[in-house]
Amino acid sequence: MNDSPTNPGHDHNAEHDAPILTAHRAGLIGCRGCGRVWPAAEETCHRCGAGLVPPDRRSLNGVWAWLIAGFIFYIPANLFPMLRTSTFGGLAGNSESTIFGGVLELLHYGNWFVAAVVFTASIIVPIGKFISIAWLALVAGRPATVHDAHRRLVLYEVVEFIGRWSMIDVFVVAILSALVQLGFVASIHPGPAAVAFALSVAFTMLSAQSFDPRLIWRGLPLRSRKDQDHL
Amino acid sequence: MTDTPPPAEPGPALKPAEPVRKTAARAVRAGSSLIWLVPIIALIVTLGVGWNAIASRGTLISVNFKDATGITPGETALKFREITVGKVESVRFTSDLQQVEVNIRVDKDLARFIDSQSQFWIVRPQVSAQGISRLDTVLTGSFIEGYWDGQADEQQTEFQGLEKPPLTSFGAKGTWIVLSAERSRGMTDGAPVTFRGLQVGRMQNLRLAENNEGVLADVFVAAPHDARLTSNTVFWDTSGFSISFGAQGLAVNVNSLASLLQGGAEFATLTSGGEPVENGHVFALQPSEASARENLFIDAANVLRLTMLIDESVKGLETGANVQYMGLTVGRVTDLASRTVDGPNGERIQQEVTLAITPERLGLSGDVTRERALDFVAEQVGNGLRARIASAGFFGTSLEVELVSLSDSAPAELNRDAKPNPVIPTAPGEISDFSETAQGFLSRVGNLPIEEALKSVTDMMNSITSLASSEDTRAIPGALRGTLDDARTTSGEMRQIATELRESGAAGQLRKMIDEASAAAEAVKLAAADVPAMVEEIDKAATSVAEVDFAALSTEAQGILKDVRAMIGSEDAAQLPRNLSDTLEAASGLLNDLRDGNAAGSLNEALSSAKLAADSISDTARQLPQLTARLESLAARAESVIAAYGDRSAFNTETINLMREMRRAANSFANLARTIERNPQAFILGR
Amino acid sequence: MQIEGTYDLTSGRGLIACPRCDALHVEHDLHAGETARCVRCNAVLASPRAGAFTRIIALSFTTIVLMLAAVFFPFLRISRSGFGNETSLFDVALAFSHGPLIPLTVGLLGAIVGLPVLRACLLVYTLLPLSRGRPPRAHAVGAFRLSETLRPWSMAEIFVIGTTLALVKVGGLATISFGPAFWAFCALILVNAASNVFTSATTIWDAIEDGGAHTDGRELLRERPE
Repeated sequence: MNDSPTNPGHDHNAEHDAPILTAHRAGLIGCRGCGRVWPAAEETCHRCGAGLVPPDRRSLNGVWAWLIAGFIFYIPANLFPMLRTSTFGGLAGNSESTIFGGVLELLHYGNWFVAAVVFTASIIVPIGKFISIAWLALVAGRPATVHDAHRRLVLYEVVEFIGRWSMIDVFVVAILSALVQLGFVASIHPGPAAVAFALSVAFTMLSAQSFDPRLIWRGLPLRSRKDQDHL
Repeated sequence: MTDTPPPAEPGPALKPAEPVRKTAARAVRAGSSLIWLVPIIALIVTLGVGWNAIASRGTLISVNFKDATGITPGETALKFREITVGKVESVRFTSDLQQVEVNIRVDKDLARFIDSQSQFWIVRPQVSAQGISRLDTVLTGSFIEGYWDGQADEQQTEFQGLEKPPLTSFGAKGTWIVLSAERSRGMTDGAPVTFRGLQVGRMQNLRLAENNEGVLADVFVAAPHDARLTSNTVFWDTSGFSISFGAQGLAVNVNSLASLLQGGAEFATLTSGGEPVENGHVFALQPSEASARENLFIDAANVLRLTMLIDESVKGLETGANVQYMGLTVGRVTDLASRTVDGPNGERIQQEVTLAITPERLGLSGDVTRERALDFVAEQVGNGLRARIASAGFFGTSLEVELVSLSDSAPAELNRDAKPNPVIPTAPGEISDFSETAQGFLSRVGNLPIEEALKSVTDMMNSITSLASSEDTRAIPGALRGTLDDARTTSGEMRQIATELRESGAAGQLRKMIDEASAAAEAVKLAAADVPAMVEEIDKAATSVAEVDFAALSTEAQGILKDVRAMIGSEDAAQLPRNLSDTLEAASGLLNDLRDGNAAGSLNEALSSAKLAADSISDTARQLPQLTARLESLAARAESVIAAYGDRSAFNTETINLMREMRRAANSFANLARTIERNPQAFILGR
Repeated sequence: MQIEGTYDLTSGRGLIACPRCDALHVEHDLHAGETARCVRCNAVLASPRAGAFTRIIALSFTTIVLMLAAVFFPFLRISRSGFGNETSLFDVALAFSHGPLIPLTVGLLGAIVGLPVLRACLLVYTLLPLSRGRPPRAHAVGAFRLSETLRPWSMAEIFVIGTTLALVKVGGLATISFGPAFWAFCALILVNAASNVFTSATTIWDAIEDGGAHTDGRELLRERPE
């Protein structure tokens, strides 16, 4: 029953990562859902029922798996057309455009802003996410300074936040398809790329969710759960 | 549980940190009641919007149609005056599955105007005999159009939709009338109704009359033309074409091509005094304009019926025959019957003819009623008006009834009280016999003095023949011969001149001319009767003379050629030699002039004078027929010879031909000249 | 039962591990309005708010009402020279309802409509008795956990932004007019954001625990036990 003095501030901690006691070091596991700490052997949090997962690299398997799945689906999302437009029942033209084709078309029509938005949301962001998550998974647990760790944490939070918003493209397709149903004159239908893109975004979101940010702070050699018993 | 001592033993043991605690900048009061405003507001707004949407929804009406082509629930609009005022919500079958019930939600502010007078129809592309319409609905989609007036009568929510869009737009001012005919010839849906050729309405809604005895059609006559409709208006069928054969001859009458195909009707108001018509007034459609103009039974109620009793045969009189009065048709025969009457010699049969007279046609002024007409007739009967059968028609084969005033008729009275109609006294009929008429015609033909005409023609022809074979005619060739001798002399002189011209270095054409002249003489010498050749050569000489210098001269020569031909063709035998020698004298004068060296101008003058001479010659001598004919044939042969060289009509080509001939003529002329040179006597005496 | 301020490194009682960086902290009972943050990564550990539960409940009700409005009212209307098309949320989802795209339809509809409503209901279910000081319902634990799992997957606000983007694309071609559903959705975004501000998972878990749900015996007490 010690009352520990309040630590003055992070500045001290920011310089050294040693004084921070983590649950893993203490041989405990923290619940990611509710924060309660349990002994390392526990498997389920008794308060909130979430599974207790130690912050080790095995969780990275899930991250890689989902990431690769998301990347696989990203390819047809760009190759197949996103939208199919048919005017006058197909008499005046059937146009299909992929994501990139749509951006080019918007540029062609001088709609720079929307083109930039679409390009960012549909191409830059997903690729950026792939790269970011891959990098985070690669460097997780490697020795790093606290400064680096903070940066990586920021990156992780950005990726997690953006994750949902990549679905915008799918919603845009959905809205356009639903709206431009002017029968004979013009109608828009979603193409197969929409499904692929939605799946890609979903998998990437799952990948980001699977990533345990606590891994970022593991500057020490890793121990698996079994090893803990020997320490 | 195991202890996990921190790896770095020296130093204080790692302890769990205290969380950084921050108090909120301002204490958030437990204003829990405030937060409940949010869902409450949301609820109110939502309910408000929903309520508003429902309350302003408008009323639901249902319209039954035969089929719902082009109607999509949730999309098809109801339009009134081209503005969307409602939308189709759902489409169902009626309980007997015979029709489709379309439920339409109409805007609230308009819904109250939809009363029992409203009409609804579907607007979709239509292709019909009147043309293609409303193709724009292919793009915009079909819609339902409705019409109602601006007065809110009793509300109604169930309607029967029209099968087709009405031909006339509602709200237009005009009058609805009904046309009735026995058959539907000339009546089709949409057929135009015209007045003086101007379309004023359309037929629609063809149907059988209730008693199945005719066909009815509705016509909407638009204002202001409906003001012309009175109870005296007649309608007739303008479709197809009609042929009439009457006093003016044969007439084929066709209206526009449209009416030929789709029918149509025209109307005119022929007599005045009719009353204005109301909606639904029935007019009879007459088969043709002629029958319409003659149609008098416009107002069947106001017809004066009379009966006449005839003893003689009424063969040829049919119902529908005209009743004439003072040359105008005033009525028709409507019934023929026999009846037995008691007479002094027992029963006998009389023919009873019923006449229906239109009082207006009698020419009475003012308000014309049956009674007034009857009074008038009675009065006239007192003055000698009688009814009788008369012949009518082209050959007088058909009969009609005539009301004539016969001053010498026995006094009689109109029997007003007879049943069923008043009886008008009759006079003997004026029937002409067809056979008599025909015979009279033929006899007149026979009386024509044809024989004499034929005889005089024959005499004329005989005299012509005798003329042709008279002595004088035969003497012509001899006289011509003498003339030809003179021509020879002249040609000799010409030769002289040619020599001199040659010596003086004149154009070779002059020689050609002489050569041709000699050739012409040669030809004459060769065949004394070959007048045409000689003449031809003279022609050619003249032509070549023209050829000497200018193209204009050629034209002149051509003219001369023609004139000479004409001259030859119409020459009087006695005068010919003299005239020819005159001509040749003039020609020698010409040659003298040539000698003088004034070639062109003198030639021109000479030729023109020659032309004049030729003219005078032709003028003076035209009468001998046979000679004329013969000379004509000779000239024709000359022409055919020329024509034989090719069918070239241009002057130049003909000239080329002439030049070829001239060359030949020149050769023979040269021979002649040589012969003359060697043996002048032979020239005169013959070889 | 753990006395506040005491902790046991062996069993982990009285301690909180930062979900982000795994740093151990001593668990304290915070006052209303206070925020406890991790010393290392500054993540929020707990932030009880006064009346937070009530607020969350109210906002959840609002979410439900707005979602109903958004679903049943017309959403957008596009028209150009006489042709028009009005679309509601169903039409948007149905746009994908052709054969192999049906799963996408279900997913979209779920993400846009179903999840927010479900989360709202779960929150209400969990927090309603708690806000009145009564013991939580039987499945409150599972309900709240489900709600937290579903949180990143509810995409209502993305839908609205996506709609706006689509309208920008189409806006040049035709006339667009917004229906009530669109505004309901915009309000929904705001409500969602507000709800997130008031939601602190740790606090709610504490409340569930304090309220008497089946726990692990580690409720915090201020006093020492007898």
